[in-house]
Amino acid sequence: MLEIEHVTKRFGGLLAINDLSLTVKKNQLLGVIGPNGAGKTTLLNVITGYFRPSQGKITFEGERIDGKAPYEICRLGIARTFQVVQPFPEMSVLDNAMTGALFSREGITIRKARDRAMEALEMVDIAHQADVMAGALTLGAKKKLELARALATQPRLLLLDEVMAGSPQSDIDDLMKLLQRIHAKGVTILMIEHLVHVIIALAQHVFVLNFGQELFQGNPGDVISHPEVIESYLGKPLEALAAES
Amino acid sequence: MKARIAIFLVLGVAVILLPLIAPPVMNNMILRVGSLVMLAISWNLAANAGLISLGHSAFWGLGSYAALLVANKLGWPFFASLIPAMIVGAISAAAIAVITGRLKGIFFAISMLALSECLRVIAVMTPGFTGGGAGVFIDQALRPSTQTVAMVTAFCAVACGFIAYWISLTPFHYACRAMRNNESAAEMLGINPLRFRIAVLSLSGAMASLAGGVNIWYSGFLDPMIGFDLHVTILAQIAPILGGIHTLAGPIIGAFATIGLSEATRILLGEQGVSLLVYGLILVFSILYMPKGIVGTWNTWVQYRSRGAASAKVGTTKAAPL
Repeated sequence: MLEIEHVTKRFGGLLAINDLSLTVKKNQLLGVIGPNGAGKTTLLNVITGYFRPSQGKITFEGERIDGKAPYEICRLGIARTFQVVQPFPEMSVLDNAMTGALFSREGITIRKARDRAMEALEMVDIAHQADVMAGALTLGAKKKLELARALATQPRLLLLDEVMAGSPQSDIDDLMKLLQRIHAKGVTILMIEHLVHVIIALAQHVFVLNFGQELFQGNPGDVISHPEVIESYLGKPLEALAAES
Repeated sequence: MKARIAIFLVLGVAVILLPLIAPPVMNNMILRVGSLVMLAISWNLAANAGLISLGHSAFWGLGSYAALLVANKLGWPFFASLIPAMIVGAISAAAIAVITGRLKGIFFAISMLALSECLRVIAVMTPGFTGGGAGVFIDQALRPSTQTVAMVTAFCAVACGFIAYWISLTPFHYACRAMRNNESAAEMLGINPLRFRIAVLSLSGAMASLAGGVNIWYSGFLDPMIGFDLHVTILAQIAPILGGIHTLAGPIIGAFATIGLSEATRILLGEQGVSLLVYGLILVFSILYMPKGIVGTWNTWVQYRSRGAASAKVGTTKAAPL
């Protein structure tokens, strides 16, 4: 569904993403993990058109999307959430979600957009706060709204940038169930997450990013036991270091 | 909803017919309030999309000069001259939208200020075309009665109000507010910022130019200092801010309040000096203590009354009714 081929993104002398290739298959729930600064958010920014890749090619359902603007990419059926939540604070929760519904397709009426927005709000369980100003929501509710707004665009591919991070455990359980429901509806998901246990529980396939390059990919069980992955997160065991020196 | 529109329609027609029954001295007031309503609505439309303009006199002046020039050079009558005025305003606003690209906030404001000053200098430097610093009178033979000008001003102001109301019911309104709140997040929802920026500024520019175009027929004389007067720019934002920025009724109420205040201080405190000082002080304190304007303060008060002080809870801030 989404093919990233030999993509490189350079910021001056810094290689944020280095010759990265990654495939997301239809109906897959793919998890991307990696230590801080590995290039995870940059990867999403490159896919969604906020950054143009320095080299390489990205195709979505056979259509080349690198170099397209974010609004064009949205209309192709890709939605994303942001790591730092970005709801529209001076609009009501419903209006936030409606904005997602209104512009992702041409010629949708306000009434239809409202229905679709309510559906999305109900799905993430904040429909009871539809009239509240988004700026007045708690962080947890803002994260749900961010998700609802992305869902209101009716995406076929959903890109999630650390939706769980910073949430209390009860919210994390909710969000995990929610993501499973969204996935079960036929939405392909690529999720970046710092919480490794969430990825292990949800993802069918895990991609480990380190210094902008692929470190390892495979099924969740293999990933957490892979020595290089452990090393990238925790460093080498002392015995190994002693043996080397 | 339908009853509401009917009330607005009746009110609108009454306002347009007002110059027929009001005493002739009122024509001046109708013209001033009507022009300011148009300017304020125009400014507020752009502000709704996050585009704070510090140069609405640019559109005002372009409209004035366009109407004056087609009248003097081509002999176009009053009504016909307003069309090129609007077109010039819309086209120049669209050009500014493209040129300023993604500039927002203070950066956009400064570029608008520069545009206005730049146009003023151009008007001074091209005396053959614009009459230059000496100014130029509009062809007296073509001038309609002040009553006609006042009626047309009232009509245009009402029309601008209806356009603003109609826009508030369309997806356009959602796109503008989303862009104002967070342009990059809006883009991820399928909003092409440039397209909406061009649309909203063109509309805003056309309205302000129309106000300028109507006014030149009333005043009869134009020079670059009058056409691109900073005072117009300031009034264009004081009225909506005083009335309630980002609201529908705000610019209209603000226009009435601003002119009313200026007249009241002038009549009560004499022609110059003290009256202007008091007028300025009242404006400063109103904006200091009512940052949401008259409409915003009213809405807060109504909400406060309706739910009572005791049950005021965080997270229940409802969307404003007006």
